[in-house]
Amino acid sequence: MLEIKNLTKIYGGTFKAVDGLNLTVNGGEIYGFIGHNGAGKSTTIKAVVGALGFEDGDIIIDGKSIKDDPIACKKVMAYIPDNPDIYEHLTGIQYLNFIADIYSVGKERNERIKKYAAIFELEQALGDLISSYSHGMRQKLVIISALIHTPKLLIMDEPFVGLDPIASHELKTIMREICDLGGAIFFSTHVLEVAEKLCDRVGIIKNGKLVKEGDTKEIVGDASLESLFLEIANE
Amino acid sequence: MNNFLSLVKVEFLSQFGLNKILHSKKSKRLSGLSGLCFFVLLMIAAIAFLGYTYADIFALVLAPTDSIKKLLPVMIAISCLLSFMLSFYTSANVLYGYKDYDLLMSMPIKQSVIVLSKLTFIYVFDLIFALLVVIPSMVVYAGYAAINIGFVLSVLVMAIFSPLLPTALSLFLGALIALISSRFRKKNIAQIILYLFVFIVCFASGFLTGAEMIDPTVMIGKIYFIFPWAVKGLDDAVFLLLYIGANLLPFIIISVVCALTYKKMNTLITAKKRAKEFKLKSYGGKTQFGALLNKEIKSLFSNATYTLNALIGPIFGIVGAIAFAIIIRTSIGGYVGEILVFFPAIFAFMFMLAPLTNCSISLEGSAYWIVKTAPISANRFICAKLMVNVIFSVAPAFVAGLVSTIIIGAPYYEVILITFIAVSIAMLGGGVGLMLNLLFPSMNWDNPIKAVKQSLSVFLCILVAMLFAVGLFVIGFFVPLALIYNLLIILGVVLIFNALVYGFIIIKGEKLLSKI
Repeated sequence: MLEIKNLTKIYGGTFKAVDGLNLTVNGGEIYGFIGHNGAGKSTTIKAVVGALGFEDGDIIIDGKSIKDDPIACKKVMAYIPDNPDIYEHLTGIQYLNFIADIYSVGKERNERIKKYAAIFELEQALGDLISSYSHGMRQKLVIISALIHTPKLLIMDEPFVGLDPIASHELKTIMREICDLGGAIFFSTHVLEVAEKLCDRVGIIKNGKLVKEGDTKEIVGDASLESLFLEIANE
Repeated sequence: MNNFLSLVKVEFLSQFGLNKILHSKKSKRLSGLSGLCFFVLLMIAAIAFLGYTYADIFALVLAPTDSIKKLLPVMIAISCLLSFMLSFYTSANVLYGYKDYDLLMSMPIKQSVIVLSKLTFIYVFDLIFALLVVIPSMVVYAGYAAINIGFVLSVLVMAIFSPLLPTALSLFLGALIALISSRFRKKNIAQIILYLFVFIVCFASGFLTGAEMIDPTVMIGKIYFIFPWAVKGLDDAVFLLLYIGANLLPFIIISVVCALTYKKMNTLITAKKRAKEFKLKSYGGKTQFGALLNKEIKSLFSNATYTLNALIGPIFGIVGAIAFAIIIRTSIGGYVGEILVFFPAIFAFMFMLAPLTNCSISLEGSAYWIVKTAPISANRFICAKLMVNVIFSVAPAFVAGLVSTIIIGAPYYEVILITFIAVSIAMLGGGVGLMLNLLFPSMNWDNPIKAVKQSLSVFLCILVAMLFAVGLFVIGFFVPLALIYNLLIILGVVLIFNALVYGFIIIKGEKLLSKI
């Protein structure tokens, strides 16, 4: 579903934020992307979703290159950023309908909005302006908007930040459901316990390079993901 | 450095991306700083030139009646009225509703220091504007009468204190409007209506003072009530002190009131009204373009400053052109074709000065990721922005051109030509605005006012519009050909610029968007 080939992103002509990164996320898989602050996680994610250009390599989504056919790639995926900055002048329902229109979702949107708004307990707030929402409510709205077109690939940057425990639990359930239906999820997180429990595979990025990758159970072994991460970070 | 200076420094560093330039790489810093210096000098030159030109015109009116002494007070009054008109709908936004409010209030800084730092920021911009108008006016005055050091000092003291009254008044009105509109659920619409009401009152008071046009100082005196003290203050220290006091006192009162009520006002103004009971309704959906267009229109009316900035031109374009046509028709009695040469310059001024496209990309701000990651082509995104310009600027231009020329009694071919010119100018305004915003986007704002009123693309747009208006006037007035040929040349020039600007957007638009 997602194939990152030799991705290199250089800032200011010299600083390699991502350096020859290779990874694959297959359908039905949840992939956790872990790394310290400034390791290159968000840069990689932004390149995958088409928000950031890159110097070298390619990113293949559902068989198509983000460089050659960005529109087709974006149609099958959804992105949840680390900071839910959205159009504050719209109401929640206006924003959801806007996103549904952009992704050409028909009347089936109504059922999906109803379903996810109920799951994330946001029904009553949908008529309010987004500017009145709390950080968590905005995050929930972004999650609903990402699910509205039933994406094959869900890309998330720190999706659990700001969510209450119920919403976090619901999101994890939804993530698993997407993968059970053949979809794929690629997300970054600092919550290593979540990654360990939730992810089928994990990748650890350090200074722009993928230093460890594999099946979660295999690479963690008898230790914990936290101890593995600390060990790599201190190397 | 004390708290006050630190806050003022932060305010100024955030202007025009100055801090970003100062902390970029050496090669970029040099080019950035030279670009910024060039831009600032250009703006200074443009305002000073306009100040000089206006002063020269007023001197021609005042000299024959031995009233040349009133020239500098007149120019000070004009700079005050202009800075009030340009800033009254933004001042309150500079003070209230900033994203740094929580941060500043959580720090051990006195409320009065926070308020004073924000007021200083507003005042300094108005002061620079006043000096840029007054100093060239002094040069004009020196050509008519002798000046001594006492006179120069009196004028400079007046210029330094003069922005305090418009700043205080604009803050008072702005805060009052923000407070009243905060009680409505559709507070943006309420704000727009109230601002428009104040605008209309200001303009109407200018026309309804009953003053003779022969002596503009009478009209200014009726609007700017401390004008007579400014005139007398040039010779009499008591009146000079009175003038200073009349400026200083309201500013002190407003500053104290703002400082005492800062927290309460911020809470009231930024409080959001919630929908009583929301029921989810079935929604059919729109096309991608329809959704983008709808979003753009909502964005236009989401912020009173943006709405007024973008729509004042088209509104006064229609009203002004029709009023001008009626005045010409009634005062001259018959049709005089030559008057049409003024129309293109007027249209350029009204429809190009602040097109809504000049900050429409900047206003995406931190939410720009939505468009970047959505399956939308760059051209569709750009087209939606231009379409809003067609609806809210090109359509009014069409009405303004058509109705005014019909009222004036122009033959059909001149009606068609002027209407075409008006429409082309409004199209060009939208194109220039978008092109400049593509080249100089300002995405990292903490208050939309910065994108709408204080970004580079907005200033450049004003400059381009002024130059273009002057250019069209020169063509219309000085090219020694029959009227119809002059108008055809003007139309040709506007169409060529349209082709260049839209060609640039088509060729470079996608690339520039992807770089943002």
